[in-house]
Amino acid sequence: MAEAARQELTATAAVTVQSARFGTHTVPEECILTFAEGLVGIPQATRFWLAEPAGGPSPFRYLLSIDLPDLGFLVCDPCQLWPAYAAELPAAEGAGDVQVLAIVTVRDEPRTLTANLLAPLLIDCETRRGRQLVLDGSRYSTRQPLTQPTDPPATR
Amino acid sequence: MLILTRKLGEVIRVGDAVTVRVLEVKGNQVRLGIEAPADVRIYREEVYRAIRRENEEAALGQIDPLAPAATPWRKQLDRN
Repeated sequence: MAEAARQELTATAAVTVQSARFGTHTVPEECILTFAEGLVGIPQATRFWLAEPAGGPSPFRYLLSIDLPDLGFLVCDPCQLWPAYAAELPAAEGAGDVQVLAIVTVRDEPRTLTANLLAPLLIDCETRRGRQLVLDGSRYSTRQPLTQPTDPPATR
Repeated sequence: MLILTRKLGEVIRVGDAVTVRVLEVKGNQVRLGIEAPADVRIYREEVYRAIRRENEEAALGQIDPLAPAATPWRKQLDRN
């Protein structure tokens, strides 16, 4: 009986996402990030979770959609790769900690990685609410090359 | 498409909460002043299109070989 109750509790506190691309994962509710407006051009994707890549520390994460299970992005922490970047973000809207992420585009032939610094993702760490901010009028590009992902580029 | 003619300083109102004012007309450039609630996102069309396109391209990227370990990020910040 206690076991059944525990299972029920687990079932209500987590979401199972079945994806042909990324496999099946159980995401605890406290790990769900809510983007009420979705991403630019993808308004239907409002709930995501972040996954750490296998094998040690990395500047990359995976931002995986819960609503569209085969939708996923490689993301990086742009403030780690480009230390000057954080200063150009508008002052935090809330008082709490904010996680900044940039979506990384992987292209083949030749294989290149670029980060979208013009439209970063800002996630409030307390409420786990995020949005894609557009730094209109900034000098940042949607396709900032990531030549050596583990080596921060020299000052721009 | 609704087509309206406005003079310098005149305003168009969209719904109850959004106004667009003609601030300056110089040659082929028009400066517009837009007032809208904070939750109304306003973009230059070409910027919106570039970001939408980049989001779509990023979604198509071959990230599968780097398939994630099932370790969801929790509330903590990355410690650099």
